[in-house]
Amino acid sequence: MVLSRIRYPRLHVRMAAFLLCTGVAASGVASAAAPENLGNGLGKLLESHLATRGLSGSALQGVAPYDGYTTEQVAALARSAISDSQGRYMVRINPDGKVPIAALAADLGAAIPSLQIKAVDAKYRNVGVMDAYVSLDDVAALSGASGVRSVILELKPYHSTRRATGTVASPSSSEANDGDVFRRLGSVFDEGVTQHRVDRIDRFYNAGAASDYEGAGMSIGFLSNSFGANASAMHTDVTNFDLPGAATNPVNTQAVTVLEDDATPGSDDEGRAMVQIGYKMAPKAKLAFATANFGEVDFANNIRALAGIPANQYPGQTFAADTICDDVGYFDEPFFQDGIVSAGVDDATAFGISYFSSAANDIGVNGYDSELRWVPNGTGMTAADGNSALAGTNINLANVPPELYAGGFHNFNPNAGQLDVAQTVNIASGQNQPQTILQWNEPYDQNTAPNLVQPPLFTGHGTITNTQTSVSFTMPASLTAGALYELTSTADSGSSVDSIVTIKDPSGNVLVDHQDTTVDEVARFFAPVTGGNYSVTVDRYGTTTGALTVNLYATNGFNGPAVKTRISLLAFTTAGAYVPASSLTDNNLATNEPIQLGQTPRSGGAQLQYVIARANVPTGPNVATHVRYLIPGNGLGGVGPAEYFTYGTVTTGGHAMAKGTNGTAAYDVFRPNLPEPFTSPGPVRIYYDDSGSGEQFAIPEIRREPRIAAADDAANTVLAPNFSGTSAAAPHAAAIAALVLEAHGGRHALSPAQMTDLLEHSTFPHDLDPWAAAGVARTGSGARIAIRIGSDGSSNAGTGGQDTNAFTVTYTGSGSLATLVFNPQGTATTAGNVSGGENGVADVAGSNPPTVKYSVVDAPGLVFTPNTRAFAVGSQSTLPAGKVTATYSNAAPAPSAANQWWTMTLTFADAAFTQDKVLRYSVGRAEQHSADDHTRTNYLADLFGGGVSIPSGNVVQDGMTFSGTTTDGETFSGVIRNRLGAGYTAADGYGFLDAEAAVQHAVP
Amino acid sequence: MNTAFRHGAPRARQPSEGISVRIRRSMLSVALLALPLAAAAAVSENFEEVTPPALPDGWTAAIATGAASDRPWTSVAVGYANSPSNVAWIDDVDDYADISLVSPTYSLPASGTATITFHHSYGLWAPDPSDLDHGAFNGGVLEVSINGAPFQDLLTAGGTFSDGHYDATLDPSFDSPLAQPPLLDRPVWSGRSADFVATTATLPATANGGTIQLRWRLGTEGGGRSHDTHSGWWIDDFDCDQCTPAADDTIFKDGFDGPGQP
Repeated sequence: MVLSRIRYPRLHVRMAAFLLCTGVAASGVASAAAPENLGNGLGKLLESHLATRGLSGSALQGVAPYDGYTTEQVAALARSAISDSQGRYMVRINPDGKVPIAALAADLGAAIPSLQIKAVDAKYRNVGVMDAYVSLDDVAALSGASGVRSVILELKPYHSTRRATGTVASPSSSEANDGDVFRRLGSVFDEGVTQHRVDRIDRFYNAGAASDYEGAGMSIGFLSNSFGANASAMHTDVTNFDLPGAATNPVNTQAVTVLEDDATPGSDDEGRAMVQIGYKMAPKAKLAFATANFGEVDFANNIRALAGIPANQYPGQTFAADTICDDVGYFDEPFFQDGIVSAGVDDATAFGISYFSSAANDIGVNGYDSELRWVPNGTGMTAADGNSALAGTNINLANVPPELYAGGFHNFNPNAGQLDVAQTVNIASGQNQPQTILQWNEPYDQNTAPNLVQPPLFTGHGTITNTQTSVSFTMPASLTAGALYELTSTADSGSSVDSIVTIKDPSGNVLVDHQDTTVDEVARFFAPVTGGNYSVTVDRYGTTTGALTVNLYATNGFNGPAVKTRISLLAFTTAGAYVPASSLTDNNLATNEPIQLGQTPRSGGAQLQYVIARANVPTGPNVATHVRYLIPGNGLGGVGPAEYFTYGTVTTGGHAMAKGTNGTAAYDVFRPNLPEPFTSPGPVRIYYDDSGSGEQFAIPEIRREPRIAAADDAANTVLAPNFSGTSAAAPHAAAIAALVLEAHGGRHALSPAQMTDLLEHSTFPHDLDPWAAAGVARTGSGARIAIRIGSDGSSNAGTGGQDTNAFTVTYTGSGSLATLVFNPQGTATTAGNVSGGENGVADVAGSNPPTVKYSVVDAPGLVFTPNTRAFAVGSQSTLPAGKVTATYSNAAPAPSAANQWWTMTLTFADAAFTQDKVLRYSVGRAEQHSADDHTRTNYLADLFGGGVSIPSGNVVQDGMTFSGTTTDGETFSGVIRNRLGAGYTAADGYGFLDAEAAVQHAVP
Repeated sequence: MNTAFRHGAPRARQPSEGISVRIRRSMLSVALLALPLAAAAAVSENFEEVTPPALPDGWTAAIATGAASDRPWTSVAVGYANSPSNVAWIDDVDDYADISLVSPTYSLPASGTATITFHHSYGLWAPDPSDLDHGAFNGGVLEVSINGAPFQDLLTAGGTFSDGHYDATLDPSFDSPLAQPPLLDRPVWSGRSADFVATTATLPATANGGTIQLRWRLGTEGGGRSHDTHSGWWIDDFDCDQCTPAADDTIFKDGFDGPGQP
């Protein structure tokens, strides 16, 4: 594009389209052509827009019954997209690197009047990237503009605040044990202060503390949705000392600096809730906020601004953070590579700033992660037809565009020699169903341009006059289906003609419809069919005239890394019928992004079948070997795979796994012995560096994220009464890091790497085998009884409480196992859940200054609850169900209800449980006395073993006891344990931070 | 049964290494004929002659216990090896598993001290040091079968390590396929070796004049695994200074086989 030839201003509401690729065309979803290089479902949104444009009333309802959109999936997409008051959508514009980013921004802004550029990162992947608002009417023109590689819909970010599912209030004073009394700052006491042992190093809270680190001289930055959308509440927080800034504030009169806010009415000001946590943990620190709501590029730039990087500072800004935290994620941040926001984090850490990000709230069974195991497609539409690839499934490929699975299917079954290309997946109802994000390990955000093959396949010359206002050419060259071609229409020297290009396939189907982005046109399209006689017509803009030249080029790869595999997520009903409106089929070869993203709505049932299919079989290096999808439930149950799942599947990612990030898991302040069941597991696998080389690592780099854990669910006035989720954990951690800096001399006293090292070694002992517990016992003669339990806290179909293979019992020895008794003593202290109970504070009435009293209530013990879920033998058990009987004894006291028991006895009939058998089973179980004074169902395996109480650090090694007999007349007894100690786990990193230990720890 | 005498190409010799006689397939028969029967022989294996994931002839992988999805030992070429390019590897796993790499059968001379050396890197699940550290969870051991008898730990069989000893013991509180009474806290390699390290061992004298077979045995408990970029167990550049291939009828068809040898 030549700047001097740009027209402006001009807005054409014309559909300049790349092409309708055969796959999309055949799906029947598209009612009009959308460019292929639109990502995150933008093509479907555009198609819906085109189908409904100009319609109203019953006509609109007929075409678009889903809130004005053609499908439920598109309606969900529209709700999730970032838009502005003018109805424009935010898009990410990936450049192709041929036009400098600044010039591209200027060109696009001039050529497309509806375009408003929001943020630019000029150095990302060496070619830059930008976010902009644009009208749907102009998306096609934007996608076809010279210098644009692809256009990606920006979806609203998610915040790692857990959905309200019964948050726990502080215990009443009547339950409190005698305990320490602490001063209260503001109207509520953040229990993270006591759980992290800040009370032992802060004399505001505890005059008798051995040291005093209150954050003086330190600065903490926060990013979330908003800070002051509710201005009245914000001022009340200041007045009540729940935020700093009031002239009468006893510790901090410095108002919070707000660099950029999203004052959209109705925002819950989660950012203010985070700032409040930072203030309560480090009361004297300077605090600043910036929104992360306006796209990934703006988010990254706000990280840089908070860090005080000069090039990114706001006018007049003096704030420069020592530590920064956020609780925001964008759905399309890369799983296997650093992305746009990660680049911002890494710039901040390179500037010496320690960074913390919430790990997210997606329990492991919200995701699926696997090596790719491709199976070639067979012949026929079904297994019954003889299609060997579909063996064992009811999948019917009728109505599926064959191009989408021409390269075969992923085999979900990991067992050698076994095959299953369809996975049953739990789907929530209606709008509750989150987006599904499928990614594979090919280069992400590698913004490159196609290499043109010289000479052109076709060259045509023509002249447009006032009498001949268009010229047409039929191009005899044979094109190859699926291949990418580029056509240019350029005014000859001295000519003033301004081209408008239309391209048709040999059958006359329009591929590019009146593309009109600037004076000369560059149109790219994937040929839908093999053959010659594609045609192009060049019309003129306005009354321009002159000679022009049309060139058609074949392409040969890209001038940099490119996505090689087109992978689609095909959805089928449980009866095997294809559901195109629940499938995700963006053309990755056109978008150059290895991702499918969108909602997969139910289709008459609570489950779908996912099939991962590829359109092509690429060769050479940098081809996908690994796949992951995530249905980010944010604590919501009922979503995720019902088979081929793994407890602890990696669900953290994006910038929470950036090189410089301390991803932060969460522990509930009221039950501080285990991580929150929803906290997102790691670690993450990185396959590409962030230099833009696009070369896949032979061995993926493993990043131990989340790094550490911190408190959530503490009292908060913004998200009252308790702020739950890893969103709340990250600011607790960032504030502790500020205290560490203060203790060691202030700003830059520790590098970010030193800070990470120090924090990893300043944690409480923790459970090193999350989602698992085990016990082993031996008889006098050496026979061995081994019990292994694997389960998380979920209760989806097939997982957690509904995983009937959760318990594994094996017997090795002569004879057989006769009985197995769990908790034969029938007491709470031999019933596991060793650190159950609650910690909390209660206001001390009439105290001035206001104080709270800390209390601990011990309430150990698990009970068996066959009333909620009966004993059931699982599908993987080789001991038949008929050979085992479960009975119960030792009724548990209140608050347990009837038919809730301390003791369960398994009796094995007919000497059947010999050493060649394995028993797999499940049964209902619950915390006997939960923090909210009820018996609470909980399927987490870890509750059977020992645990660590926080903040005391007390360790109880032994969990639930068990005993039994063999048919040889021998007896055995044992105990179920967790592996407790120091080290990394996928659930909570290196564990829950001990601020007292951290400030005392030497600089590594 | 080992049906072919095939070993890898020699790795690059380090300046500090002594000179030993190395016999490879192409020269073995000549070498044996040229040497007195009691003279030292040598075998080596650097896994270079195969195309991953294959193992060299005579080397086998076995899964005694494990999940159906567990993978056996294979050779890999992923840019991490003691000597480029291939290395034998098994990843750490988070289920209860017993997975072994087994060498060919070798003959030892009637006298002398046989020494083996191999280079390995390991990232196997173990706690970080703390007051609560009672031992490793997943580990690897070297076991030996002498004259076809059941495998036992090299140390139990009378061998010794002179370098690269076991560096951990298993936590006896948990069930491991490696640790059975009375040795519930069995010595193993576990944790992170950081890089390739050399282990040198003297083979049991009781094996002199007989045959040995070695197996590198990974035992995992379930419930967790290593999370390292170089997780698992990587073995490269195996040498045995006194070993000769056993039961190779191509070489011994003229009666060098002793009584009872195949």
